[in-house]
Amino acid sequence: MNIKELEAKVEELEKKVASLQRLQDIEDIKKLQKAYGYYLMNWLHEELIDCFSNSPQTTLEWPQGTFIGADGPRRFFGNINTKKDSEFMHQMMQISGIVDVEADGEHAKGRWWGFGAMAIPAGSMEVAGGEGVDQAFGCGIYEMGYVRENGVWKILKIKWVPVYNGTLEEGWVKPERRAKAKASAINDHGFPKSWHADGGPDPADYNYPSGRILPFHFKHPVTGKKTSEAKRNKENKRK
Amino acid sequence: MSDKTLQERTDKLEKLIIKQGKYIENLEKKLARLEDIEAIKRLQKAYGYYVEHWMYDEIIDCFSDGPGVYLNWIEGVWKGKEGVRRYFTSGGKTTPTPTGFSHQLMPTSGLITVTPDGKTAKGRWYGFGAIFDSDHGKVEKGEFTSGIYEVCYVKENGVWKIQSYDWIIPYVVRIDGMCEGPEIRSRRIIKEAGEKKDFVPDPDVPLDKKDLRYISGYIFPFHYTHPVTGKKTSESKRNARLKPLKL
Repeated sequence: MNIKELEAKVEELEKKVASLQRLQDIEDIKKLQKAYGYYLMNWLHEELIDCFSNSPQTTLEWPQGTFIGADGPRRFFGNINTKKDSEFMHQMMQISGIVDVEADGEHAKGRWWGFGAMAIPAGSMEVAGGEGVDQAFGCGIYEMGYVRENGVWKILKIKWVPVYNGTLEEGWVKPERRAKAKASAINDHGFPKSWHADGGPDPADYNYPSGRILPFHFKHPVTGKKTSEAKRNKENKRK
Repeated sequence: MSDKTLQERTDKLEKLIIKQGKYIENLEKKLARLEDIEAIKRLQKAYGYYVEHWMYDEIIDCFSDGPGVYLNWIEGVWKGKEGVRRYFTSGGKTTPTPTGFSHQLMPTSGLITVTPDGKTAKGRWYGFGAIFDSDHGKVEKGEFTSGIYEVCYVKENGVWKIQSYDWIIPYVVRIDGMCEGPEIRSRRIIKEAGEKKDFVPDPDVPLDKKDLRYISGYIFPFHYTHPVTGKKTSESKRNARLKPLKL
């Protein structure tokens, strides 16, 4: 091997070795997302807020509206279950995570299922008022954006799209504690004005039975081709 | 090429290689940790698949032989590997678990933290799934259980094992009358496969009515040996007890 070949070889190895860092990044990001999920079950405000970036681009996009900015996570998470009601439960098991680190190594995207059981006391979240506890199984999809800040991966963007929710005949809230009135559908109303949401909800309806698919940030893992959701969504709109 | 230029280039390469050597050393440590995390996740998931069919020998083999072993369940605490055996064999029974017993607890959202010395680790998981007895397809005592595991793991002779379980159950949902066991569902599928020609396209190989997948208690063979012992697991022995579906 002459000096030129040796230089080329060293450069090639440098690139190969750098790519190993991606595995660590993916594991760190998955851990972040799962931690977020465990905090969410009991609505641990501060821990949830700490999962997020301090960037002015930090975005939380919910069906009811969007929060943007470093204070967005506090304006959202800090306003829910402020009484820390023990009857409150918001289980969202973080399942089937796909995480892709971008070429710059400083940003990443993710898609996850969230599935779990809710018990929302009246006066909290979408259960507007009255007495008792509303219960449901909920399932939806997250599209996530992550950013590395001072070496630590944080959530930069979260978009949550509920897919279905419903209640089993016999649930986990005792009969005498069950809410008398059913909560209205999640898309029917936005946040209170005092929360200062930064935008309205995504006008697209992803709820069952719209048939609309939340766009994937990733191409097909086998073929590398763009997936067909845009076409499908167009067709469903026509119907 | 002058000797000076060559010397400069060689010096530059030497520095680069030394720098890369240090970087690789650092990466090696990270990779070892990632391998640990992956092995622990695999162990926990293997345990989950054994628990579905209450394969107690395989379950017991997932545990450490050392000190500090315990099961902290809702019903009480069992200590030591002997305690683990007592619990999973219901006090020392050697009879196989009834075929209709299903104890699905899917381990999801596994979050693993390995200690800096790489010898022990902790994990948090949801265990979620359907638990029921299926008596020839008729489901008894059906429920969805949602629990949370906090688990300690220990590496023994290079193999990760479970050291302890703490477990809570935030909620259980009764599903009596809401699900069908394999026999009822399978009879319907077999009947419809013959009738609904427009719905089920002609298969290349017709369904085999003697296939044990139509029966309660069928253990879908594992592609992997036991993650701790490396031994072949007992599903073929257990499946041998089953008789094809009566149509």
